[in-house]
Amino acid sequence: MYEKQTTKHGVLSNIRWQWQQVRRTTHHATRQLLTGIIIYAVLALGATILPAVVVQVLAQHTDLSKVALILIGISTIIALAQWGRPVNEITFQNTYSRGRIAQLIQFGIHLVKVPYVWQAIPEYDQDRYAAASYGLYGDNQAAQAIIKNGRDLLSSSLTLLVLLGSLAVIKWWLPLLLLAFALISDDLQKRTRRFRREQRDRNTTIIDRTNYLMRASTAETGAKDMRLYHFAGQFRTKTDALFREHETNDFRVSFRVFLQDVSIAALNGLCNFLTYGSLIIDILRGIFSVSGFTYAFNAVATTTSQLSTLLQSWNELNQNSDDLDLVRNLFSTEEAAIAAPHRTNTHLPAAPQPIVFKHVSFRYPGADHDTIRDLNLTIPAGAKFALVGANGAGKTTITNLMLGLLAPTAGEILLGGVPINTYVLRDYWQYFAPVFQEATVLAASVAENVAFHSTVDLPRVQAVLKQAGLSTDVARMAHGVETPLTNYIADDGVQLSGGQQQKLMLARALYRDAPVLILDEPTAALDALAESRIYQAYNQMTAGKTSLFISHRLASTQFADEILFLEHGHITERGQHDELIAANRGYAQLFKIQSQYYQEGATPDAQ
Amino acid sequence: MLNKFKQTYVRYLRFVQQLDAQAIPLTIANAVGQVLVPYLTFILLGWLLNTVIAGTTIKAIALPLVGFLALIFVLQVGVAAIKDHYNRFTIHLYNRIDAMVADKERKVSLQLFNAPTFRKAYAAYNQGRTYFGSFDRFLEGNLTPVINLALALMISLTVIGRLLFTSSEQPSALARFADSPAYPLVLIAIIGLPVIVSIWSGRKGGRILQSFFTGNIQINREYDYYFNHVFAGTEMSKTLRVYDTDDLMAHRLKAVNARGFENVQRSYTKSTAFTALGGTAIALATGGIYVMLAIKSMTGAIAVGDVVMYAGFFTQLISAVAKLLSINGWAPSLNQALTATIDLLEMPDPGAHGTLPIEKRHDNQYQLEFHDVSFQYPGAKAFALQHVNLKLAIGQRLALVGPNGSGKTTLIRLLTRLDQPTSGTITLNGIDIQKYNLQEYQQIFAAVFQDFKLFALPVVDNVAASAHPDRSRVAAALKIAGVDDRVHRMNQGIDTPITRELDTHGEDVSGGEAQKIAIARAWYKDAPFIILDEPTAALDPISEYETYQHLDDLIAAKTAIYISHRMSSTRFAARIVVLDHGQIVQDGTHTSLMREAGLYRDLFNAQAQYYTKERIAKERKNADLAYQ
Repeated sequence: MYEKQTTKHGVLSNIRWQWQQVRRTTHHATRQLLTGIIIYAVLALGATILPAVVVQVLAQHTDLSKVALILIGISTIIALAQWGRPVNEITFQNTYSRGRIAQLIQFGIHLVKVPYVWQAIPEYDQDRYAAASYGLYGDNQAAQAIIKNGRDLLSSSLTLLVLLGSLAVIKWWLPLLLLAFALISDDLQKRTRRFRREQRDRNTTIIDRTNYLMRASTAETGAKDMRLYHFAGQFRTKTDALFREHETNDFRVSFRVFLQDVSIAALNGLCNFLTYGSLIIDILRGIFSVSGFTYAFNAVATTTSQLSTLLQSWNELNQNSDDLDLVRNLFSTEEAAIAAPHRTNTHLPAAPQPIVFKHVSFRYPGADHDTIRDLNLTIPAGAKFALVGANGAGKTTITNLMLGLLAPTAGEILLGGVPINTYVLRDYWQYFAPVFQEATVLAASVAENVAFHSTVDLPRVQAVLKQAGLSTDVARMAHGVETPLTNYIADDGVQLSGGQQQKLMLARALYRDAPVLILDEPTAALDALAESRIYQAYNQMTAGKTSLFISHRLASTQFADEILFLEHGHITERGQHDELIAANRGYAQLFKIQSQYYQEGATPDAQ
Repeated sequence: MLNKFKQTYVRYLRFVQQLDAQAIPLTIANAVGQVLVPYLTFILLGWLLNTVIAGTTIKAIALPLVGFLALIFVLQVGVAAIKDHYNRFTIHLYNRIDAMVADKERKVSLQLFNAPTFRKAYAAYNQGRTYFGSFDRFLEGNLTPVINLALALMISLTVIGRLLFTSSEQPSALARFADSPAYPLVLIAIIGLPVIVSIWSGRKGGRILQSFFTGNIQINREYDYYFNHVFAGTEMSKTLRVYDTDDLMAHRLKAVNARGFENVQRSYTKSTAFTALGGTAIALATGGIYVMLAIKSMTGAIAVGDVVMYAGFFTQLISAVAKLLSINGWAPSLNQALTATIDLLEMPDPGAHGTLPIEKRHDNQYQLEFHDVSFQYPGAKAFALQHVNLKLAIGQRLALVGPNGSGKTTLIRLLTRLDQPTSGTITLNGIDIQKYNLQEYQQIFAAVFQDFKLFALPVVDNVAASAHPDRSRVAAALKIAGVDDRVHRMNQGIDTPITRELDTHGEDVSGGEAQKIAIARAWYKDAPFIILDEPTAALDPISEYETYQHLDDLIAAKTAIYISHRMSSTRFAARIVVLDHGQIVQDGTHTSLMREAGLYRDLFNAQAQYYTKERIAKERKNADLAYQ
C-alpha cells in the first residue's frame, strides 16, 4: 500500500541531487555555470568602475589617446560580456530545464507504473499534485529554480566579495552599514514573499477551477450539451466569481508590494544620506578623491542590489529545497513500489492454466465495505466463462484482481497453482488479452493501435481487423491501416465512432493472442448486426483459450460453459443458461426483462 | 508598412482602450515612473561631483543633499503607487480577456467551434498566453518601451542642444573639433551605431524565433497529448499497464521532448546570439560617448560632473532604443497571439446568423421537415447523409434505426443545428431553420446525446441548466429518470456538485447514474422535441428496463426521436425510419417492417434470436462442437 517517504534533505543535498539530474542529460552544465558566474561579475563590476575611471582620468588631465584607449578597452570587455550574458543565460537555462523536463516525463510515466490501486488513493493524488505544482510544472518551480537561484547566489557572492572588499578599504564601516540595511530590507521582502505565497496557495484552487471551466468550455465532448442547454451563462457567472476572488488576492499582494517599495525607498534614502554625507565630508577635508567618490557612489548602489539578490536567492533556495523534497520523496516512494522486489517469477506457462480464487476479498482504499466478499472460484484451463450482474456488482473488480491490477485484501489468486503475486507483473500481463470497458484509442496509426508495439506484424493486423469486423471501415480510410487516429496530434487523424472503437479494442486483444481473453462489455456500442457477427465468431476467437465474457447483455452469455451471476460482490448463482433459467432466480429475472420486448406481440404496456 | 502597423499596434491599442479606458493613460504614467528615478540618480551624482569639485562647505551642501534625497523618496512613493494601480489593472485585463475568450468558446455555433480557423486561433491565443502573456505583456513590453524612448529622446536632445552651445576657451585642435559642427555629427553617429545594430540583429533574431514558435506549436500539441491524455487520466492507465505500452508511449514522449530541445537549441539560442549583439553595441557606444564627453571636458567646455551625468543620460537613451528594438525578438510571436485573440473574439459565426425569433406555441405545433438534405463532414470522402427527405409528424415517436455509421447521429446534429447541411434545407413551419435565431431555435430541443456530458456543477444546476432552478421540478425530473434515490444519498442531496473539479464536497457518479441525470436534464427542459441518442448504453438491464418504463412520462405528448441499437426499444415507436449509408432505406411501423424483407428485419432478428429457446440450444451445440 501507499506509504510515502517524508525525508527532509538539506539545501546543499537537494542542489546536488538536482544538479545530478541535470548532468545526466547533458555534459556542458558545469562549463556553462562557471562561464555564467564570471560574465555576471564582469558586468556588475565593469558598469560600476567605468564612470569612476572617467572621472579619474579627467581629473589627472591624461592625454586624449590614453583616455580613449582606456575607455574603449573597458567598454570592449563590457561589450563582450554584454553579448555573452543573454547567450549564456539561454543555453544554461536550456541545459538545466532539461533536468526538469526529464523529471516531468518520469513523473508522467510513474503514474502508469505504480500499483494500479494507488490511483484510488486521494493522498497519493494530493502528493503528486503538490510535487507537480511546487516542484515540476513550470520554469519557476523548484526543479529549475533551485539551479537558477544557486547560480545567482554564487554570482552575486563573487561580485560582492570584490565590492565589499573595496568599500571596506574606503570606509571600514561601509560594508557593515550596507549589510545591515540589506538585512532589514530583506526582512521586509521576506514578509511580502510569505504573504504572496499564502495568497498563491489560495489561488491554486481558484486557478484549478478556472482551468476546469476553460477546459470544459473548449472541450469537444460536452460542446453539444453546452449549447443545447445554454450552460454558457452559468459558466460565465462561475468564471467571473472565481476571477474576482483571484483578483482580490492578487490586489492584496500588489498593495503589500507597494508598502514594501515605500519602506525600502525610505531605507535607501537614509543609507545614501549617511554614505554620501560622510564621503563628501572626507572629500572636503581633502582625504578622499573625487573619482573615489564616483566609484563609491556607484559601488554602494551595486552592492545594495547585489546583497538583495544574494539574500533573496538564499531565501528562495530554502523554499526551493522544501519544494524539491516533495518531488524527491515522491520519486523514491514511487520507484520503490515500481521495483517490486518480491515479484521475481518470470516463468509463465504458454498454454492456458486453471485460475483459482481462494477466499478472495477486496475493499477499495477508504471504502466502508468489501467490493468482493470471500470469493471462491476456479476457472479451468480453456473454459469459457461468463460473468453477469448489475452495475456495481463487482464484475470489473474481479477482472482487475485477476489481472493483478488490484491485490486482494484477503485470500489469494493462483495461476496454475502459483500465487500470482510472485510473478513479475510485466511478464504476467503477457498471459492476458483484455478488452476493457472504456475504449482507449491512442493518437497513433490504426496498425499501431492494434499491435501496440514498436514493430507491427501487418498481415496479422489485417487478419484481426477482419475478425473484429473492422477491415472494410479501415480500408475506406485515406491511408488504410496507416491512417492516424484521433485529432490530438494529427490534423488528418480519423475519429472512430463508438462501435468502431469497440471493434478496434477487440482487434487489439486478438492480435495479442494470449492464453486468456477477457471481454468486458465488448458489444455495448455495436449495432445489432455487428454484435451478432461478433457472437458468431466468438467460438473461433476463443478456441484453445480461457475466456471470460462480462456483459449485462444476456444474449452473449449463452455460449459460456458456465455463467457466474454476481450480486454485491458475491456469486449467487452459477451454471449453464438453461439451468439458471430453470432455477428462476436473479438471472432468470434479468433474462426475462431483456427478452420480453423481443417476443412477438409484446407491447410497451404489456405488464 | 503603415497598413501592417494599423493591423497590429493600432488595432491592439484600440482593443485595450475599448476594454478599459484607463489602459493607455495608466501605462504612460507607469512608464514615466520607471525611468524617473534612474535619471534623478544621474543628476544627483553629476551635481554632487560638480559642487564638490568647485569647492563648497559642509553646511552649504547638507540641505540641498537632504532635499534631493527627500525628493527622490517622494517620487519613489508616487511611482510605487502608480505601479500598484497598474498591476491591478493588468491582472484584471488578463482575466477579463480570458473570460471573454471562454465565453466566446461557449457561445459560438458548434460549426464555428469545430472549424479549423477557430481552433487554430484558440491554439495561438493559448500558446501566446503561456509563452508571452497577453495584452498586459503588450502594454508592458511593447508600449512602455516606446514611451520610455520618447522620454529619453526628449531629455537627450536637450543635452545635445546644451552641448552645442558650450564652447571651449582653449585654442587647441581638439577644442576646434569640439566646437565644430562635426562634433554633434560624430556623437549622433555613435548613438546611431547600436540603434542600427539592434534593428538588424533584432529583426534577424526575431525571424529565427518565429520559426521556433511555429515549430513549437506541433511539439506542444504532442506534449499536451502525452501529459494530459496518455499519462494523466485513469482512463488509459489500465491499457498502458496490461498491454505493456507504457514504455512505447514513454519512448514517444521522449522523442517529442528531444525534438523540442533540438528546436530550442537550433532557434532560441541562435536567435539570442543575434539579439544580444544590440547590448554589445550599446556597451561599445557608451565607451565612445565617454570619449566624446571627455573631449568636451578636457577642452574646458563642461565640468567633470556633467560628463558623468550626460553619459548617464545617453546610456539611458541608447538602452531605451535597444530595449524597444529588442522586442523584435518576441514581438512578432506576441503579435501573432494578440491578433489571434482579437480575431477569435471578433470571428463571424455564419452558423449563428439567423435572427428570426421562434414563435412561442403552447400547442407545440412545430413542423420540421428535411428537404433533400445531404451532408459531408469536412475532410471526409463520403457523404454522411444523402438526399434525405423526412417530415416529422407532430407528437409522434420516431425511431431511427441503422448500423453504426449509417448517419443517425448526423441527422440529429443537422436537425439541432449543430451542423449545417451541405445541400438541401431543413424547415421549421416552412421556414429554413438557418434563418432562426440559433439560441432560440435550440431551445425547442431537449437531447440526451450518445456522448452526453455532465459538468462539475451541482446536480440541481446540471439538471436545470439555469441560474434559477425550479427545485421541485428538478426533484421530479430525477425521479422520472430513476436516479432520485442515488441523489438523495449524496452528501448535499441535489446541491451536491458532480466531481471535485469545482468543489471539494463534490461526488463522483457512475456512467449509468450520469446518464440518468442527463435524462432528467432533458425532461426538465420541457422542450417540444425530445431526442434520445442511445440513452441507455451505460445502463444495466434493470436500469434500462426502468428507463423504458418511464419513457411515457419522459416523452409525454412531445415529438420524440429515438436512436438505439437495442432493437427491443425501437419497436414501440409509432414510426421507424431505417438508415443505411446515409440514406433512408425503409420507413414504417415495427409490424409493417417485420413483414418485409430488409435491413430492419435483419437487425431485429439478429438480436432477438438470442432470446429464443431453439436458437440457444443450437448455438450451445455449435459451441460445444467448436470447442471439442
